Amino acid sequence: MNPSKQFWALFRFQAVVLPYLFVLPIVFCAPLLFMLHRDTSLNLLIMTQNLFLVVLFGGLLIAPEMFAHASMNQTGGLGMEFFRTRAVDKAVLVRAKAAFFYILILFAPIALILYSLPSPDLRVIIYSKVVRLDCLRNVPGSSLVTGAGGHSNLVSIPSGNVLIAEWYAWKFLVLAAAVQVFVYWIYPSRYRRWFFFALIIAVSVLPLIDAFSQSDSVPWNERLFFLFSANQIVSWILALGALILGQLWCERRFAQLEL
Amino acid sequence: MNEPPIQIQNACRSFDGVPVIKNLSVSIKAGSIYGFLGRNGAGKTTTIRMLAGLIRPDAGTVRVSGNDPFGIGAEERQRLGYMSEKAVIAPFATVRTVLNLGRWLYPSWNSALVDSLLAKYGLSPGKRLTTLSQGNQRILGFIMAIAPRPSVLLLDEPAANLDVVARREVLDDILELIRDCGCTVLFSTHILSDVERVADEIGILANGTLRVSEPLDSLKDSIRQVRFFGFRNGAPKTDVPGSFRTVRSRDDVTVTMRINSGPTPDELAEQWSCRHESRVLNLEDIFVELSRN
Repeated sequence: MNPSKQFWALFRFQAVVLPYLFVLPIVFCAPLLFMLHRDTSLNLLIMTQNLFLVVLFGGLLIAPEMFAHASMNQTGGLGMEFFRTRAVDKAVLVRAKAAFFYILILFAPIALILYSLPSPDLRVIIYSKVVRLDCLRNVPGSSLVTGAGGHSNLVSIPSGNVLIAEWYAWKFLVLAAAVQVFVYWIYPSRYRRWFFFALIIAVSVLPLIDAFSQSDSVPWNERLFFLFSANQIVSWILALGALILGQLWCERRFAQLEL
Repeated sequence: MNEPPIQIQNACRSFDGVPVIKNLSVSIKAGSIYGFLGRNGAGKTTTIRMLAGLIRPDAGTVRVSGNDPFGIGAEERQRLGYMSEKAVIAPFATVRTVLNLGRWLYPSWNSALVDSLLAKYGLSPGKRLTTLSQGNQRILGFIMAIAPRPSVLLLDEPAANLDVVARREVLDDILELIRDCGCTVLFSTHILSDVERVADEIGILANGTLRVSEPLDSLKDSIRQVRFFGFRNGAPKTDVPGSFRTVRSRDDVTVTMRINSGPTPDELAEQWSCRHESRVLNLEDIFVELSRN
């Protein structure tokens, strides 16, 4: 059986067995669709909050047995042992799991990109002066405009809505690649479950970081977004590089992994 | 070219520094059914997992159909059937979903056989795996392992959680498979009557060491429990070379030993100036004697 047939067999099986495929986009997208044209700050915060779902689903899709004791049956049909003892090549198995994971994760950002295309430009009030200045300095084409109420803090960002959706996709993709590497890395450890939970908790508390930062500084969420906007092409090249290298590493790792 | 399809040589395996398999060597010839017996924690599952390519031995070699099972790909796995001790459970999956995966992955998948087995065991294809009884989950695992018509079949506790009728039917299916395609089967179990029913050869594993590995009839013929008594010069303090177990009481010594190799009971009785009586052991007795610490 050639690798592409194996790949599609595994992919189809996961799609049929895992209903998250249909739930995730709603979970990821719904709040963002409401907020996209209204509040950039809140939108970025919601995206960061959603990151923990990437970690959680990464674990559930790649190695669900991490969440259960080895003797438990609940993950038998989706666990690595089940797949590895079928007639599949190890590398194909890693690829099929990864492909399913990435598609699932990227479904929401892609939906958001598509949603933003009909009205790509963003006009947003940025109250903080430092944030406004950082935005004007970094985001290509951004400018101050006078709003209907005579606002002097209204910023216009050409294709800003698309940019936010793109930033969402970038963050999810990079985190998904990192999660995949992390899962295969910790897999042999007897403490893997705890390491994984530690990662989920770490990512879950990311939105709280700004609570400890200075009030007159640019929140890290916005800072990263502006940085991404200023270096879009480089960011995407780095993300795709990380994705490919991570994938190759995972395939090599899995080939030597004992289950 | 007549290499045994299953071959383990001097395999050792430890977990967290605790040896589980110690210098295990076993060779199973083509077309035979090998019953793997042992107490809980004896190393049966570890051995089967090594053969399935899920783990590697720390030392020694493991070969299945001439290949290192840890490194084999899809092509070789077409001919290696494996039924885990864990059930096949996936949320939202039905029996049909799981069987479809087998159909997609194995060109040799025997759909007619699957249909007949589903009907035989009363498994409905549309039933969710989470609603299946543990016994039916085992049967599904068995069907997944047997349907591609593998040349080597590894079954880890295939009859666990099955009722008596289903257990007997599973064993009959194993026999039928052998008749049809000359498949080599290794199965582990605690149920001795299963082994007596189907196995050509058995291996008894105790504390990671293979105590015996030979045809069932030969095993029953060769192992006896011999009681030596009436010592004129006192009971001997040394064990009989090659014996499996020696129990000493005040007036007699009971030895579980082979009678077809090493010193015979008659020779020992003459040497120790005593009398003796032998007891024929059934498989359960042999298993208990050989498995005791």
